[in-house]
Amino acid sequence: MKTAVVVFPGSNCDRDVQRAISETLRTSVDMVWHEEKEFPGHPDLVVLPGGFSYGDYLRGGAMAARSPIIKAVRAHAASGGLLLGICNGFQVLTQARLLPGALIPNTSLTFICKPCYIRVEKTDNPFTYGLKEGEVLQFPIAHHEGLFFLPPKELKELEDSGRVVFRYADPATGKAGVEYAPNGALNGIAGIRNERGNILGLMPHPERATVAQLNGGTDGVKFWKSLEKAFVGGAF
Amino acid sequence: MNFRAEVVITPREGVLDTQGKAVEKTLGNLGFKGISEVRVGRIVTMDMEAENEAAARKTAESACQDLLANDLIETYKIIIEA
Repeated sequence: MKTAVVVFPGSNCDRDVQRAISETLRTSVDMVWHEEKEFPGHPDLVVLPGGFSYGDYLRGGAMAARSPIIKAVRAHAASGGLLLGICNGFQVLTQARLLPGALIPNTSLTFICKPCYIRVEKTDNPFTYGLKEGEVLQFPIAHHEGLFFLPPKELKELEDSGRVVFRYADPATGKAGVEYAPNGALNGIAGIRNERGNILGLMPHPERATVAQLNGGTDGVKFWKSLEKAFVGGAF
Repeated sequence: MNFRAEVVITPREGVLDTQGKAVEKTLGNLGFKGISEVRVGRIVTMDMEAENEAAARKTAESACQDLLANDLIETYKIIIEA
């Protein structure tokens, strides 16, 4: 699986993503500066990493969503390529209108950095194909603007069309919802996909949950392996 | 002609504004009475050259649509001064 990670000024999870993918999937990962106009070769997966692109000026992800590389990102997604946005990358996807909604400041008004639990809601897309529906994973979160927001009508459409892929949950009971969302995300939404299923955005960091010796656990490995399984198996 | 555009961006009604709520609560704690619906937004000012005020407004409007505001969660008001 050929992968490219976009690097914006202020990205700080780009190397983590590169390392997580290259080590768990034994594949090379291209790092692509945001001022480039196209990707080297034809990547199968493009990742917009976490961080503080442009220092979060104006709105998180707003300026990055207008970077020169975004045209190539749109073309990649339009041709069916896999596109993953993590944390600030998710904010960029919403700002670029590649995914619906907006990520607004956490209800606590604080930056929250801690392990959290998310439930796999859907496995009908390449990103969670190899996971189990209802499975609860531990990925860390680290954000100030992670409250997923959509007006009521659009939120209902998103839910009804089954595009909520991850929801914050209680690991003991497996129950999920807003009461388990550290950031106050509506309906406890932690990750969503587009209609076609080739674009996923999520606030928690699977790349920070791939090394056992670190505190994030290793559930992230399951996520990357799931992606590889769908890709190699040609399921989508 | 030279104009100055001031764009006032505030959270849209119905969008949770935690900053506004925190400020409102603190104002209440300070003894201010009768204050409600406090919203915290931001102001962007821009100097611009344009043929006339209408053209300046049009440019500012486009800037809001393309970058300055996210109309899903924010509303904006443009003030043009010569």
